Amino acid sequence: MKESLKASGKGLFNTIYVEKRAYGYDITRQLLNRFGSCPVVPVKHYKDVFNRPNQHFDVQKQHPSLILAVKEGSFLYQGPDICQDFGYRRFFYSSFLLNCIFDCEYCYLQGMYPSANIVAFVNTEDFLRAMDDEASNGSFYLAASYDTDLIAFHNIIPYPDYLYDFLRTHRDITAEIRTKSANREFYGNHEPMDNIIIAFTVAPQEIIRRYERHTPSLEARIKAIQAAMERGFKVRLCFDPVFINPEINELYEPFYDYIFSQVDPAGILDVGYGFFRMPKDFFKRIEKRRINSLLYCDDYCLREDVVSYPPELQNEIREKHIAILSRYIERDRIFSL
Amino acid sequence: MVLIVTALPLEAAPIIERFKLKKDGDAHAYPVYRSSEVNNPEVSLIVSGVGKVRCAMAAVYLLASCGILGPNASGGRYSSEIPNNDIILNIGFCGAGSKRYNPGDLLVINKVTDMDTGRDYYPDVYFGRDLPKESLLCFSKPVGQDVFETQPNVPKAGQDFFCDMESAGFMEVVQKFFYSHQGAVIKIISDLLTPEKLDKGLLRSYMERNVPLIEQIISEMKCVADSVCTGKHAAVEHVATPDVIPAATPTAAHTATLVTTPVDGENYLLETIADNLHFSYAMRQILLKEIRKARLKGLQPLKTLELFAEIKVNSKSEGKKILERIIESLRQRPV
Repeated sequence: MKESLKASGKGLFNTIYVEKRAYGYDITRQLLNRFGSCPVVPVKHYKDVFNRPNQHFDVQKQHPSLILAVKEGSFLYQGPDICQDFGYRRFFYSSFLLNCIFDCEYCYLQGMYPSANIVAFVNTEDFLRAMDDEASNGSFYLAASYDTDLIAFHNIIPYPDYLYDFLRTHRDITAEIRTKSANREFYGNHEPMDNIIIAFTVAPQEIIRRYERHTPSLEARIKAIQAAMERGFKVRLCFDPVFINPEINELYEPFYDYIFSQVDPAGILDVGYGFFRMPKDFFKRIEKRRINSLLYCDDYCLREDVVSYPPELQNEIREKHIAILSRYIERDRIFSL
Repeated sequence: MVLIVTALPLEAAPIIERFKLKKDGDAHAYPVYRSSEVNNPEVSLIVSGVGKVRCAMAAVYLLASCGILGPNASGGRYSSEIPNNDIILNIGFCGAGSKRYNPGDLLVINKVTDMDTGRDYYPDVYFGRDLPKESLLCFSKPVGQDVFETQPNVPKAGQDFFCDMESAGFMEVVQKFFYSHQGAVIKIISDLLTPEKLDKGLLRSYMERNVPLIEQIISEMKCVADSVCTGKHAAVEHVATPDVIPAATPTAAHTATLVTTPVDGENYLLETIADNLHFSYAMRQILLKEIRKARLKGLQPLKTLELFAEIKVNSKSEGKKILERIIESLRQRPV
């Protein structure tokens, strides 16, 4: 677990801010040891840095800083309606990290947080204790990498490893780790477990090129999917977000065909499918900032404070796409929002 | 524009000399020095006097005198607009409760603590990669060797700290009127908590010695600030494993030419239509946004606007109906 913390990561962060109370944790000590050349600034509370006024999201995204903090309050959150629960009645998510190392143009985090810097919580034991407490109320589904990418961040802080040790003894918790990472080594170094689902987000290469800055290519992701499946991991494919646009629509059919020519559909657990959607307030904030983005120029529909494509258009495209996907995978294994 | 605030004429002199600044005869409240308009970068410097309140007042005076802030500022800076490509620096001396550095060494400040309020400020520092970065304590009075007895919150004797009397006031201004990467506090160590023994000649030599570094800092800060305006953010210098962060692929959005400012014809038509149709400020902004979106999509908003330029109405509600028609037309692709 600690090996990845020791690997070199020089120059990755502009500055490391450390909450004074976070200094006592192993993760903090190891990271400070590893990033010895990076300026370190002690802070009273992570929000003093993270919630400052007038931070420039794009500039920070180019030169991110890391904020090491101790999480307090809630460690598990109820899964929101805007996310898929994959049929689980009790659905929670956790946030070991605030923000993500990737820079996806469609990501709602840009509208949710005032900063692009990454907050990493170091008190992992408290997260696990909260999960343990929740498990006493019955089994549940945990989206562990819900609004970040823990596998992509694994070489910096091995959060999935902390989860692994815990989930080995808590089989009543099913955890989904969602990722765009092409970190194939991860699957070689970890045992597959029945209650861990690796959910790969995939999209046509043109979508990746347009909207998913800093993320691995489709080819690299497919190789990672293959590595995970060969190793025996439960694998979910997430076609989410799907975009509707005359220039883009024609990309999907060949993309689905290609994916299932490379990935054996019988070997995957299921498929998640969803359109580009975002809470209204986040959309407005991002739209104001990303003044050059074609994505935020499109005409969307507002329903129940969520911005997305008009329902009739969604239905039309969804039907078409699911018909294609059904050539490869049974409809009851396709979860759609 | 590069804006510089120093407390003392002694701190300002080498910078004035290097950038060939001339005293602004129209500025009477403070000594203000400016470069000629043809200079690149355009520099304005103000000498504030000692103390955080004086520093904050002078910084705001400088912003107003440069037209960056105030009712007549371009871009409506009286509102909440932030000037994207301007930078502001507080350059001056600091005392050092540390033997790690020598008098005359330059420090880049990444945290300022106001010792009166306990409040912390964090400028985003994206320059001076190899320069030392330190936290700074801002006091209301000069700090000497007796600081450990007289001040309750300073680090204990033997622990490093650095102190000045302006930075907290300066950071309050930065936080209010700039993005966090646009302000910088640059300090040069004047003494090791012996302010009574300062020698003017020596201090001047410390400043002169550091002018090339100050120039380098200004250049790097301008580079980041300008990149925001051009949409081409400075290259990422991170060393990362490809599996974690693969090389960035430039996206259309990032390589696109900026299309945010209306072209002349559009601007004229926007004004005409807004006047003819009795638009409110909010309605004007809505139309402006739709024009920008249309241009971004490769449509021709100018032609659409021309169709509505002659229409006149008598009330705002009539204007609102026409606005809806304009938006509908702007969104349509030509057949």
